[in-house]
Parts: sequence; C-alpha cells; structure tokens
Amino acid sequence: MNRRLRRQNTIAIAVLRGMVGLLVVLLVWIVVQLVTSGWSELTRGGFYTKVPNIGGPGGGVGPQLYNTVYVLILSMLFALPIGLAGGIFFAEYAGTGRLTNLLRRASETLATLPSIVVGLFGYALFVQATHSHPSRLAAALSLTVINLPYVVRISEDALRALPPALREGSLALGATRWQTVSRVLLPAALPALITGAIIAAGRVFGEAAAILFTGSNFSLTAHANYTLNPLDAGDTLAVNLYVFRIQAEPNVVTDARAYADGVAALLVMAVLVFNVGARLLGRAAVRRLQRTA
Amino acid sequence: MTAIERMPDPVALSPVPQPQPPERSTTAVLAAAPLSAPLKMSVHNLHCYYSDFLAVRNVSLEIPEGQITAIIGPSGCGKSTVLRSINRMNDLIPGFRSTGSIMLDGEDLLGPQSDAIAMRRRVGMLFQRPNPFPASIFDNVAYGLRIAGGVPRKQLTEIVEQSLERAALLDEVKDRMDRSALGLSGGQQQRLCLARALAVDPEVILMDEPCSALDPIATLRIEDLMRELAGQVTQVIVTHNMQQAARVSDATAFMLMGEGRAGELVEISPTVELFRNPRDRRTEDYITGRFG
Amino acid sequence: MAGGQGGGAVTPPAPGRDGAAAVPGLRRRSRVIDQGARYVVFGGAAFNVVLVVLVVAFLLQHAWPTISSIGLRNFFTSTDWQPDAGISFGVGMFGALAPIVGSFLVVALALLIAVPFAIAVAVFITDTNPIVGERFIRPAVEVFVGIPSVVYGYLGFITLLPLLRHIAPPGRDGSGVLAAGIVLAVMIVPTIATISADGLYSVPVTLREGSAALGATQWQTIRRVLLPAARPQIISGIVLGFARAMGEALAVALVIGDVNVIPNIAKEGIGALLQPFTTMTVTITDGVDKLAINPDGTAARYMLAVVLLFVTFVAIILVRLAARGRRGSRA
Repeated sequence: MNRRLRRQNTIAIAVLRGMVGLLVVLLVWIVVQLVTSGWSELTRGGFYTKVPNIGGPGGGVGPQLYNTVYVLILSMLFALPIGLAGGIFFAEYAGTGRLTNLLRRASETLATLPSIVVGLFGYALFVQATHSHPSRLAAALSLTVINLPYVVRISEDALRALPPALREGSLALGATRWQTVSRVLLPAALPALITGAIIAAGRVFGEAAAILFTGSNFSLTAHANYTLNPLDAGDTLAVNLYVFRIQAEPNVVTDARAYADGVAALLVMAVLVFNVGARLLGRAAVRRLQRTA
Repeated sequence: MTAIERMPDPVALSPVPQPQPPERSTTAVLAAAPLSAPLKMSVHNLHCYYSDFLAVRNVSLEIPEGQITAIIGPSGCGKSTVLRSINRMNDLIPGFRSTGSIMLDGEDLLGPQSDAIAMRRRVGMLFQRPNPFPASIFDNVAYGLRIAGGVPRKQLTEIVEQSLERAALLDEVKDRMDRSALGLSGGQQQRLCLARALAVDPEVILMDEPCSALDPIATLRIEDLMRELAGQVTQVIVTHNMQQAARVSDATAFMLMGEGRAGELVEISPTVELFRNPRDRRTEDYITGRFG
Repeated sequence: MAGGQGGGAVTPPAPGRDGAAAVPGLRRRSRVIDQGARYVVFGGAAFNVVLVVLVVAFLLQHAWPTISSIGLRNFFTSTDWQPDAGISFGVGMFGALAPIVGSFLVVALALLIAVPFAIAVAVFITDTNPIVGERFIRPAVEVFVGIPSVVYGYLGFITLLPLLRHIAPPGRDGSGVLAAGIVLAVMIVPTIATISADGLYSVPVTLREGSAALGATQWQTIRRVLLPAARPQIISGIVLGFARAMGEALAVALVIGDVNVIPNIAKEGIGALLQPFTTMTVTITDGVDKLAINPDGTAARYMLAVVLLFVTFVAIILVRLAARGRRGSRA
C-alpha cells in the first residue's frame, strides 16, 4: 500500500513539474522566436526612424513608435494626478464605511473593463459626442480610463508600505494631514511610485484595442508622419501590428513579413525593458526605503 | 527544604478555580510510575542544525513504552526541535539536518532506508495550536485512515467514533459530525486533533506544548486523557509548565540552552526523582524558579 | 485596514492652545489647504465612480436603438448577422447568437486548457519548488503578462495556424475555436496562477504540518488539504481569467477567422473547432472602420458590448461573493 502511494506521489509531482517546465519552455520559445525573427529589422537603424515605405523596402515604424510614446505620455499626464489623488485618499483619508467600499469597488470594476469596451466608450464620448474624428487625444483619454485603476492601486500600495512611524512622527509635530502627505509621505514613497508608474506604462504600451477605436485611421500610410498636434490621428505600435495583419497590405510595404516580425519583436523587447527596468528600480527603491526607515 | 516542597502548588497557581481537585495527591502520582518498562524509542547523540546553526547538541533520551515522558526547559532550549526530530517533522524545514540516531523498536529512523511517511502513522503528533483542517469533524478524524487507504466506509465510521470516544469528544459532537471542525472551541479542537491522531492507532504520540493555547479547564481535560491513554500509547510531551510535567509524566528530561545557544540535555530522571532530588544544580535552580 | 493609520482619529493640537501662537496666519492657511486637499483626493477617488457610470451610460445609450427597433429576442436568438448590409441595401440583420455562442465556446476551451497549468504553476511556486518558483517562475509569469495581446495573436497567426493546418480538414487555414482557445489559454494562465498562488500562500503552515504528521505524502497534502483550503481564491482566479478571456479582442481576431456561422459540431466533431468562427469581441472589432457610417450596425455592436459588460460584471460579483463566503465560514 505504501509503495503505491509513494509511486502516486512521485508521478503526480513529476507531472506537475513537467507542466511548469512546458510553460517555461513555451515562454522562452515565444521570446526567442519573436526576437530572432525580427532581429534583422531591429538592428536596422532605419527601422526606428523611417516611415512605412510604400512599394519599396527599407520602411520603418518611426511614426508609430513616436505615436506610442506620445499617447503614453499624454495619457499618463491625465492618469497620474487623478490616480495619485485617489490612491492618497484610499491610503490616508478613507474610513471603512460603505462609501469607501463603493469607491473601491468602482476602482476595481474599472480595472476589469475589457479594453475593447473602453474603446467603444472612448469613441462614443471623445469622438462622437464631440463631433470630431479619431485623434491621439481621444486615444490618450481612453487609455486614461484603463490606466487609472492601476495608478490608484499602485499609489495606495506605495503609501501603505511606508512605516507608520513616519506618519505618526509628522502628526505628532503638529502637521496637518495634508502636510504630512505632501512633505513626508510622498517623497518617501517616490521610488515605489516611480516603479509603479513604469509598470503601469509597460502595461499600456501594448494596448491596442482601445486605441483602435479612438485614434486610428486603419491605414498604415495615412497620417504616418511625425506630428505634434494631439488632434491628429495616429497608430501606435501595437495597433500597427494588428492593422497590418488585418489589412494584409503586402503590396503596400514590401518585406511584409519581415516588417511585421520587426514590430512584434520591438514590442517584446520593450516589455522586457520595462519589466527589467521596473525590477531594478524596485530593488533600488527598497534599498532607499530601508535607509530612511 | 527539598525541591518538591519548594515547588509551587499546582492547584493554587491556577487563575480559575478548579472544578474539583485532582483525586490523587501530587506525591502519589509522582510515585506511581513503574520504571522497568521496555524502551519504545530512544534518541542517541542527536545534533540538530538549521543550516549552519547548531540548535541541539548531543541529546540522548530513553522513552519507555506505555509511559509519559516530559521534556521541560526554558524557551529556546531546543525541546521542540528534539521532539519534532523524533517524527522527522523538521524535514519539512529547508536547511535542516540532524546527526545521531533515533530508534523506534530497534529501527533507526534517521537511517537511509527509513520511511518517514510510514513512520508517521506509528508516531503521531499534537501541535501547540490546534490545527484541524477546514473540513467536517468526521472528515478530520477520518483523514489519516483515508490517506492510508483501504478502509471500507463502515469500518471508517466505527473507527472515527471510537477515536472520538477515546478523546472524550464523542458526546459533544455526535450530532454534528458533518459540521465544520472550525466551529469548535479551542479545547474541543485540540481533543479533535487528538482523536484524529488516535484514529490511525499510533504507538507513540508526541505533544508539542499541547495546552499552551488552552484555558486551565481544557488543559486538565487533556491531562486526564493523557493518563487514560498511558499504557496503551507511549507519550512524549514538551511543556514549559513544570507543574504539568509533575502532574502527568513518569519521567522528565530537563534541557537548557548551553554554549553557543545550542540546546543540551541536562538530566533525565523519573519525575519523582527529578523534582525531589535533582542531580544537577541547574535543574534545581530551574524548578525552584531561580530563572526561566 | 483603511482606517488603520490614524484614519480620522488623529487631529493635530489646535494652534494657540498650547500657548505658542507663533504665526496664526500660517496656521490658518495650512488648515485651509488641508481641507481643500481632503476634497481633492476624495474627488480623485470619486472620479472612478463617475467613470464607471459614464461608461455604462454611454454604452447603453448607443445600444438603445438595437433594443428598441430590432428587438432583444431577435438579437439573442437569430444567427442572421449582416449588420453592414444596411449601408448598401438599406436593411441589415442583427441576429447575434453566433458571436455570443462563439465567445463562450472559446473561453470554455481556454479555461479547460489553462486551469490545470495555472494550478500546477501555483502549487509549484508555493509548495513543491518554492526556491526555483520565486526566483524564476514568478518573474517569468510577469513577463508573460507583459507581452501585448496583439503579439500573442500575431504569433498564433504565424506559428500556430500553420501547425493546425496539418490536422485540419483540407481547405481550411487552421483558424477557429481551437486556435483561439489555445492563444487565450496562454494569456490567462498567469492571471489564474498568480491569484491561486496567493491563496495557497495564505493557507497556514500548521495545516500542512498536521497533514504531514498523519503520514500523508506531499501530493496527498496538496490534493486533500492545500487545494481545498485555497479553493475560494482559486475560484476567484478562474473567474477573473474567464472575464479576461471574454474581453480579449485582437488576439482572438487574428486567429479565429471572423466568420459568422456556427460550426456544426454534430456533423464535424472535432473538426468544428478548426472552422473559422467569431466571438462578440471579434464582431465588435470588425466594424471599427464603419462606426460613423453605419449607425444601426454600430448600435448592434454596442449592444454586444453591453452583453460583454454584463457578463464581466456578473463574474466580478461572483468573485466577491466567493471571497465573502470564505470569510464567513472561517469564523
């Protein structure tokens, strides 16, 4: 009897480990596959700066890359202040009553909205209701809806992680709640907040569905220029990948497959950079916190 | 004054009035243990390491069959480590290792061929805080039988009821066997854990400060159960409560934190001897309350 | 937890009462700022509620024409979907049964594949290999999460579909429910695994010890004690994975073929999984370029979004109920 049980135990745990191993292999394969396929494009300098080339090789994703950063920064400009305020509220000012509960639930609900639904909402509010056309501003505002719950949670967590002694020390010296928050807590939580902002940015970097509905022209080549006007439309990298595939415009950009591989590889590399960057910053943040604590 | 006269009266120390004083006088209990019983288990030259830290140095113990052996000593002296080494629970802790031998009926539990899992069905354990599974009372007691396998349903029910009876819990729970064990009081939960351990019919039960989370009345009930089980089951109890050791055990081992913060065995004697005539000065200091 | 750090209970000593009324004007200004700040941060939090309300309101408003003119029964039971025919022919058809069925089919398949793997990962990290799990598997999971969904879809398109073409009936390109299910499964494993791992972490060590002390093997402890104890969180994770899979649009769109015909499982068996199909999200997406010029079709798509939102909300409520139920029985 005991031998049977031991054998079951060994087999079950081996199967478990095998499944995890399979996933790891899959992940490694995904990253390697994407990066190597797109390597030729990634290492070609023009890829990052040139516009998509109609009917010829040597095009690039310059405008799309520019748009991605543009929209990301614009949406962060909206999401960070509002989200930070909300996070401060939940960490420092909120009680435990029903109102707080409701507010929290709302934030959590926002976080679970599918991005395509946010895209439709963004279209309805920022494009249709304003009687305008798809624009990067509309895209940024839609992204804010997606971003906001993350920023709230990150801010709240960063503030809660601070030692209570910090808070108590400031209040005991006669400071108001707001003075404590602005002069003591926020500076102390800054590293964690920055790390969190980077993570949130990383998540939004690959967002496509919401932007598709609010900022895109569904064409690789129209408006594929570097502009500053937020009311201009523009594709981001992720949107570009999708539009490219769906439009199946191989005759618009030659080396179509290489081009798409390049975009995919660039997106993956960006994720890794964000991830590693946030991790390194996170470690530095912890070290700094331990020094001030 | 002998050590036992200096020892505080266990009845007077209880913060809650006793329901009834123990039937037997303290001295009578201490004198009752027969010391010529065969050895059920013995520990030889046990050293325990948590990674590089030596936590227990060279402990050797004898555990006679059918008797209650207590291990006492101040916090941190390694008594729990020794106890948990006996049923190899410390194996679950990464970085733990031990040297020496632990004999159960002549077989070395620390030997390379030894089957820890099978051994744990012969050597059961009660923990400091009751730890029933979040499942029904019935499922808790039946757990050990189910994982061993091969017990038909009807027999299962019989054994579960028997075990609950032996743990003096059956009357209190017999009409709610399907309800969650977490609804029981602390004392009831500990008796449930005892029933759970008894269900697999162990030869030895180890108890790691089983009453430290319980109120005095629940404590006395557990002690009564221990006395009832003596003879059928060999028991080893770690306790920080000297009076408890004096009340229930046949032999007592006294441990102390020694050099380098490693626990050592100071002495082990029949309980009467230890409390009346401790051989070691440190034992006498401890039981008269000079420290610890 | 929210009120833990002096929430509402601590007020600084009033100025002047201790005798040192140093700069009364400054004190007053600080208090005004403090009051103002209170409102500002509350506004930040309340903004979330405003947004949720706005989203629901706008969706309903734009979906309304579907309800009023087309009728819900037709919407939910007919498979006749030609929403854009109205542009050219004046009348469109708006039977959305196919996309709805497709969504549930694809998500069910994705869960079927993902849940065993996700639980395996969770158990690996918390129980069988915690050292390797924390150092390598957790970061790996985070990378998984970070990869944009479009990239998963693209990868599925260029590698998975050719693979599936080998086993598909001739003439098919490999797209369909199976491809979408696999891609979604890979995407939701991290979600389910992370939440399940948190649940397993919170099982008290002493339960594990109790099981081991009774002579259970590691697998017996996992199966009989740990997993049941973490069941509420595991279910939460699964439901969250369900919601995420339901809402995924672009990745699915790239591998499912976007054809509005329900595959005939009775006739084709497994082959039905390799037939191009569609989901709610895909159907919404394929109308993105005609939003302005096709009001009826667009309204129908908003209606689909409302259905999607409803399903997501129900899932979230279920998760909350499960969490509360566990806290109740722990008493």
